Amino acid sequence: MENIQLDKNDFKHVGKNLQASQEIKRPSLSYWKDAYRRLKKNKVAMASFWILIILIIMSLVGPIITKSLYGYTYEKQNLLEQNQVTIMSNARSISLLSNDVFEYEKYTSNYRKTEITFKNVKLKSTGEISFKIGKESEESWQGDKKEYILTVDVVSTDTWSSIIDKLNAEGEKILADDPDFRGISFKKKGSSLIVETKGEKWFNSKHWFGTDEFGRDLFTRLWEGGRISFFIAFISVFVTSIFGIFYGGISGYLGGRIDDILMRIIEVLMTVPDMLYTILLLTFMDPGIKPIMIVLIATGWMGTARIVRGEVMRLKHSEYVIAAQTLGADAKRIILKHLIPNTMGPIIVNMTMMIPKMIFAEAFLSFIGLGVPVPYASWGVLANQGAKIFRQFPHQLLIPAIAISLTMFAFNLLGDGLRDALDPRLRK
Amino acid sequence: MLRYIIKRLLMAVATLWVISTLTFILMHALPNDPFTDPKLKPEVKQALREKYGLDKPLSEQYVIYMKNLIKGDLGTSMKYPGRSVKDMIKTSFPKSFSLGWRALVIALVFGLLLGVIAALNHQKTWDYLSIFIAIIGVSIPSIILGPILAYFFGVKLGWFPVTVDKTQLSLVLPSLTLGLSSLATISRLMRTTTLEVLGQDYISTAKSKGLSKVQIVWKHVLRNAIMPIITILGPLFAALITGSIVVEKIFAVAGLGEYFVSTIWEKDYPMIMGITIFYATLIILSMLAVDLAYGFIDPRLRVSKKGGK
Repeated sequence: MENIQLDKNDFKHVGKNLQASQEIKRPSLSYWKDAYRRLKKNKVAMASFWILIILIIMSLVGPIITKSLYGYTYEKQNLLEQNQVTIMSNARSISLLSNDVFEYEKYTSNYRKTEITFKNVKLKSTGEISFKIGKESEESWQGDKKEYILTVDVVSTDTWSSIIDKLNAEGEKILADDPDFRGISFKKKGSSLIVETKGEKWFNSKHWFGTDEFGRDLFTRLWEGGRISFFIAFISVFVTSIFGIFYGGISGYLGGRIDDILMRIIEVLMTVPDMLYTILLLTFMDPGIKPIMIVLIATGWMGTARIVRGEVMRLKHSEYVIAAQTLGADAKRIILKHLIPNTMGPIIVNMTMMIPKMIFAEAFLSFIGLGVPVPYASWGVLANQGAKIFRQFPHQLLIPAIAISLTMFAFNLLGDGLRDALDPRLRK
Repeated sequence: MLRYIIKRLLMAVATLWVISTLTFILMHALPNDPFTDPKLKPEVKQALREKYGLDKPLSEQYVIYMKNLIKGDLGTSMKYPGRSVKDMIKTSFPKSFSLGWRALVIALVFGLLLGVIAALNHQKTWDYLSIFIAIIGVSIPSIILGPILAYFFGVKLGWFPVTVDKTQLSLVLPSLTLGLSSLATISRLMRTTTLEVLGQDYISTAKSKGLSKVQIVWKHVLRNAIMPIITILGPLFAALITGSIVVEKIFAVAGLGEYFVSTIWEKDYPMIMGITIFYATLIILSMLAVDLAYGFIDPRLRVSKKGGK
């Protein structure tokens, strides 16, 4: 350490400066600014926030893009373009028509298969094998209606390799005059026989996410569905929260007997899961967006009311409330001007957590057939339609599934982040 | 303790009364009834109304309905004359139940295990894995998880049957679909409570006494951390019941949930009412049982209830 020489003159009394000590050096942070600062530090929550923003913007803009480019709407059907996928291919489906020649282990048949594998093949006898290439009904998928039958006779001198040569040669012969078809190949690998039709692959530039069973554009329907799902969720959560705030605020502030009665009502209503009420109520209404919202609001407000009541009970003996009471403010003013603004933090967290629940509830209802009626396209409706033909066209389920899961995922993570940011007491 | 039990029982009865009254009001206050079909002749309609007692004044109908309910009579189907709601529940509920308890066991066993392992390996691989599973369980609803599991494990890999038959193997996928979200909830809660318990003074005491890790976890950590799990068993049970409505539809289980969905489509009101009341009763009773059990299991609660007011 360096030796520092200090003498008496270095310690001079600077005197009192009351003004300077009162001065606030940094700008004071309001509750919301402080919360925002904390939220910004939370990378997961911020990423979720931006994902949600993108999803919401796409829901607003998506249908407009495809409408202006191609004139699609969520209900416009085009039966010539059914069940298209994102990556198109003109490889043809293939199926075994008749077979006297070999034994094989049962293969799982799959609709529109361009490749089949016969496992554990064994030569059995001589005779005829025939395959069907393409299908007349497959116009939308293949771009043409061509259908070919490939037949080969097997005689007793044939071995596996000569049979495969025959099959390949025959394939080339019957497909020679088809320009956009790249052929068919037969291969023997170990004890399996693999048959594959080849074709060109290209990006589906007209339907980016493919089409559904009625040839409706899935890109348009997905974002149109987003509009409906978000709309239902946002409006229901908003109304639910307002009602819950009033109910909980009054119950918590007034306390006593009124609080007892109001809380018993909630307890009774909360005992049975919302979904049962929802189903029961919806059975008696005609399907539509409005009934769903009414039902979701009717069954969703209890949680918010409880949270608000708890917060109000905690805050109603604070100094600022007592001060307001002394100054002669009435209950309405105290609840609205003093208590509610101070419970906004937990309310906002609760709202963020409610939105995915509402989206899930809507999807659930649409899935069991009580949701948004056709031809509307909420995410639940899309998932329901996709689930029906999932085995043939997985993309029709996977696309809305990703949208729903991503939204629920992001809202949950954002809600966690908001809770940490808005309620510093809960932080570890 | 006795006062508490009586209070809870009264609450349960009140809840059941509210629900049955609500269902009654819904059934009668709305203009639709099963006989609004324009194809029906007026005389036939009148006869049907008389048969089901719909021509009597509303208050009288309410009394009859409640009397029957107390006797355990949930009514008969309006679409299929002669088929009673009770018989329907008797035949189809066991199938739902066999699915439900398996899902509950899967959720409990794996959820608890994952939660404890995650907490013991705080901020290591196992911990992140459990957080990941918890998030997946919360974000992927069963309407999506079901078809995807059916596709990959049923169709692609062919390990399990896609629809439920009499074999045990066919119950794997539906139980898993039904149980995953509960599994996630349990593992998340178990992780936090275990972490909390691990930070307690008595754990340090146990460590300084020289107890082995197994003993600490088994005797001190688990017993204290598991208590909050018991409180969520009630709501969990309710979630399993509503969840099974969807799962049964996906995997074609001929259970009560699947039947419930089809009665909704047919607008068979007495059936819908009957099944709703049955579900509600089941949930209320299970919640009551869980709450009472909690009072018995947690010694702290037992003592405070006795010593207190």
